[in-house]
Amino acid sequence: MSKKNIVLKSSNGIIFEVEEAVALQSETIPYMIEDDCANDTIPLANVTGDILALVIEYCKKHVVVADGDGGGSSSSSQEDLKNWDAQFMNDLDQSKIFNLLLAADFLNIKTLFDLTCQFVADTMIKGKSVEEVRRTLNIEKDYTSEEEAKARQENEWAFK
Amino acid sequence: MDLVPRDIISGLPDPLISHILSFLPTKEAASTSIFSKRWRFLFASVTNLDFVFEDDGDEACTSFLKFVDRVLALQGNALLRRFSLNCIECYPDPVLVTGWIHNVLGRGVSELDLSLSECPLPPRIFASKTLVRLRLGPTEDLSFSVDAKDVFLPNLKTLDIDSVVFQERGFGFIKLLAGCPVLEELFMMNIGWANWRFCSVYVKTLKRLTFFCEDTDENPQSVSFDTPNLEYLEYSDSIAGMYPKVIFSSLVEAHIGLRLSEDQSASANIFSDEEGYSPEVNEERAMVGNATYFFKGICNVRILYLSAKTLEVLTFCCKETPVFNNLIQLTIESNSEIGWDILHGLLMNCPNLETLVFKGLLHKRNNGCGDLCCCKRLKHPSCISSSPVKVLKVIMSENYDEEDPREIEQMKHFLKTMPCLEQLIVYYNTSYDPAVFDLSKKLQKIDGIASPKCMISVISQNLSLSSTVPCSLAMRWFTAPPEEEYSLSPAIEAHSSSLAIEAYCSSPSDDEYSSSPATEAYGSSSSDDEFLWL
Repeated sequence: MSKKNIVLKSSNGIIFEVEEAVALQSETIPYMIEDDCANDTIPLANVTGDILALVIEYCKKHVVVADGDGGGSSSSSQEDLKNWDAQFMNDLDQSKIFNLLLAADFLNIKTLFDLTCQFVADTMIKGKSVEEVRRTLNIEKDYTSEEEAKARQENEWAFK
Repeated sequence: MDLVPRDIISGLPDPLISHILSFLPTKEAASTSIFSKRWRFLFASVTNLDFVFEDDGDEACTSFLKFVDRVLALQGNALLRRFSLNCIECYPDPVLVTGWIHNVLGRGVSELDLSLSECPLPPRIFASKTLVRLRLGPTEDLSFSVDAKDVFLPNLKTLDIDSVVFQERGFGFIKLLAGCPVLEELFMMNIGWANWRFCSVYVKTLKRLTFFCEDTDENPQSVSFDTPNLEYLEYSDSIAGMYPKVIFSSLVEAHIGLRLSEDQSASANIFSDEEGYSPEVNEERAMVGNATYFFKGICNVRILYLSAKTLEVLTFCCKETPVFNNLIQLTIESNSEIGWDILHGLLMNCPNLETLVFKGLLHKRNNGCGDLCCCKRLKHPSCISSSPVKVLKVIMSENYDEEDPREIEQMKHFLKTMPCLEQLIVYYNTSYDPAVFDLSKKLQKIDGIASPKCMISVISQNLSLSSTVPCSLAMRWFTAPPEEEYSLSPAIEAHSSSLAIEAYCSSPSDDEYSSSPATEAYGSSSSDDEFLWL
């Protein structure tokens, strides 16, 4: 079985060579290969090197598990993977998280996209007061108090 | 928490923000509408709707129903992935609810989760071509009554029904399953099959089945399974009067929590109190029910978990002790109310068993334990002195009492008797470290271990102590092994971030020792570990 490698180039020119199976978790990359964006190297203009390294780390972890499972009930390996995902996200700062989310969207890696979105929802919004979220996510309040009261009124039950 | 640079969050396109909000309960997603003008309607574009009503009172209920109505109206005809409506406490008008359900079905919803009270289920649910997951209940009086020709769920992979009433009982249930040609996962809980003439789970495509009825005193009349592709079974119920058909040809893992009814249990107690009664000795077994055919049906299983009450069922409801030729891992839940009589014969019938797990070691001391137990030995042929088991795991009782020597004595007995044992792993759920060291020391001191070499590990919330015996008694607590032997497997790192100290005890010359065997065994073991670490 021949293993084909794919070369990815980040926006700041950093080169990564990965196994095809790792790269193909992205649904965008096959199109780029078909379009022959480049003869050997696929340039990813929207993804910086540090973020691409994270994406590849994630894809490598997930490709191994997809391979290694010989069928049957593999609940424990699923569990391990979940724990790994949680740890992986926990180690990132917020700026990396949002950049990773954008990269996962651009590269169309569904599981990573959902993982980052879920993480943002759980850690930055869930269970927090409006003021707290505004502060953390740096959202400027542009409502007048009357407008805010009206918005509150519209979805009254959500604020009970 | 550090601030996110403005360009990042406000730079996210609307659909991305809506996607993030899809991971929140809709109530919380809607509360973002007052963040800023831009956020006012973002929540309405979520692809998952998850409405949960937990308050009470008419006013709150009206406000809730208005909210659901408004969000659905805002969404228009946009595609929807998941719709979940959980309002048992609030009794919405069935016409209103039916309208909502028709709305989301029309928008191609693939996941539907309804927990409602006193509401007939709209038949259109059972003719959806897009549903992949359907969850109904827990509920009161949510009833299923649909003509067979109208049930067709060609994409349904997961069906989860809890307390749903089937108007036509067993027939209604068969109709529903017959309309699910690709069903892989079925959870059925408390759907009242104890009152049906029969309950049949006939699904060729099924891979996972949970069949659960909470503690009632009724024995179902008849339960059948024809699920040749099933890999995972969880079955908790009173034993059925009969098992006309039990087909589990592909079973890998089974968790069995069968129990006797009160009457059956009373009769069983009379038998077991008779002096000298033992199922292995008495040729004509005392039977209070018959689950023989069920256990024959699961005999191909590789991983088996038996609740304490199931041991009682095996003792009093099986003509002969079942044989499990493929079984490699067996978990026994033990409690002081129930004896181990059957275990002796059961272990003899597991010729390929590699891992034996005890969740608790206390048990009722009957006459029939044979050499399995240190309580009282009969002149039985041995079961564990010829046991092929390599790995023994003991999950200590929740209320393990250091002053009570029984559990230690039992472990000592295992170590002294089991000839092939390579590892004993004791899970001790405590954060009090001295008790863990103490337990570990007690286990080290045991001499006359039957196997040539056995690694003993004690794992607690904070510690993982390992050693190989026979070893010299000179122990080096807290002597860290060389750096390269010190790495933890990723599994254990992930599992217990609280693993603060790794302490080792080993004989200096034991070069085979490393940190990995205990952690590997721990990481690769399956569900039995969950009891402790969840």
